[in-house]
Amino acid sequence: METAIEFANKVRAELSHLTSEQIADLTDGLEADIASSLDDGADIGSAEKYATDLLAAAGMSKDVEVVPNAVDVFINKARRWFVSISDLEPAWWIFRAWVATQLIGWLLFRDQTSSPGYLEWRNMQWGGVVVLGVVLYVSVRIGRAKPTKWKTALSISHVVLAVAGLAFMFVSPRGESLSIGYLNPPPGQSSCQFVSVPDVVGLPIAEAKSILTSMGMAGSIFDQDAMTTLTQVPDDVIVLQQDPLAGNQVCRMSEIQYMIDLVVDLAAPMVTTSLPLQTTPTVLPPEPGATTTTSVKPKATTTTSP
Amino acid sequence: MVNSNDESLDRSQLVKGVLDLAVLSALSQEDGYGYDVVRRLRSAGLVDVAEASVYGTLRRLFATGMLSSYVVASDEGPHRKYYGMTPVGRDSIAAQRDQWVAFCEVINTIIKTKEDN
Repeated sequence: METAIEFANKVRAELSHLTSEQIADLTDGLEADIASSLDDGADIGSAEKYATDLLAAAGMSKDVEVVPNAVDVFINKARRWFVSISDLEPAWWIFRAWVATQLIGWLLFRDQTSSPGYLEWRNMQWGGVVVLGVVLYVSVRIGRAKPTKWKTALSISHVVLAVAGLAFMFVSPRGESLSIGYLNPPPGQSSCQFVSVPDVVGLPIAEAKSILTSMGMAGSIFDQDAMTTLTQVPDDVIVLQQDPLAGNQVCRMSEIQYMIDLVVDLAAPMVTTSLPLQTTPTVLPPEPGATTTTSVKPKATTTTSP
Repeated sequence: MVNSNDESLDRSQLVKGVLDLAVLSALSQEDGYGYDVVRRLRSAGLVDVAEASVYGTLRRLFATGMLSSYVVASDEGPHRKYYGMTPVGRDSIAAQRDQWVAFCEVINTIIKTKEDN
C-alpha cells in the first residue's frame, strides 16, 4: 500500500514544472495531511488529480507558464528521476553536520595547519566528536521541523555547506603522516627513564625532527604505500597531528631508542631512496598500538618518485 | 446527494465559489492543519469537498495574508503545518459573509418568483 510520503512525492513530481520554492510552498506539510486522510480510510485518488486540484485551488493553472532557473531545472529533473529523493533527507542532515564540524575545526585551527579536510582539533581528540554530536542534533532538529522562517538563510547555508563539503572531499590534502614508534626496554633491562613526548604539531618538519632528535629520537621518512624510505622532504612540511599526544610518557634509553617514521602518501611525490635518513640501532618491534600516526602536509615537493 | 450531471446543480462548482469563505470560517474559532480543516468542513456537511482543493485554498489564503502559518514538529511522524486567522482574514470573512447572504437572497427571490409564476 502506498504511503503518505510516496504519494506526496508523486504529487511533487506532478508539479515539477514549477520552481522548487513554489513546490515547497504548495506541499509543505502534505505528508502529515495525507497520512491523516489515509488513517481515516479516505480515497485520495490519483496524484495527478490531486496535484491539479491543489494547483487550481491555489490559483495556479497546471498550464501556468513558469520559467524555472537552472537550479530548479536540476532539482526538478532529480525529483523526476528519484521520486523518493526526500527519503535521502536524513543522509543530507548527517552530511551537512559533518561538513559544518569540519568547517568549525578548520576555522578554529586554520592558523595551525596548512590543509583543510581533516577534523582538526589538535590534541582535543574528542572535541571534534562532541561538536559533531551537537551539530548533528541541531541539523536533525532543523531538518525535521522544516522552519518556514529563515528559509532564504537556510538555502544559502545549504549552498555554502555543499560547496565546503565538495572542497573537503576533493581538495582535501594528500596526506602524509608521521609515525612515532617507541620501544620498550630491551630484554634484560627492566627500567628506563621516562620522558614526556613533546608537542610538535603545527611545527615545520625540520623543527619537529630537531626537537625529537634532541630528546633521543631518530627519524626516517617512509612511504607506506610504496614501502620505500625517502630521503628528502621539504623542511617546511607542517606536522598536523601527533600521536602519542604531547605529555605522554615514553621510555628513553641510554642510546637513541625512538624510531620516528615520516610516512608519506604516494599522492605526494617525493625523492626516494632505499636508505634511511638516519641510522638507528637495532630496534625491537614496538608493542601493539605503540606505533601511531601523525599527519603532515608538504608545502612543496621536488622530484617525483618512480 | 446532488450529482454533478446535466440535470442537477454542479455541487463542486458551487463549493468552489464559496470555499474561501468556508475555509476561513472553519478557522475562525481555532487554528488547524490542512486535514483538520477538511474534517471540520465535512462534519459540517461539505462531505464531498476535495482535500487538495482545501490545501490549495489554504496556501492561497496564506499568500494573500488572510491566514498565518506555523509548523509543528512531531516525534511520531512528519511535521504539520497549522493555519490561523489574521486580522485581514477576519475582515474578509465579514465582507464575504455579507456578500453571500445578499447573493442567496437574490437567488431565493428569483427562485420564489419563478415558483409563484
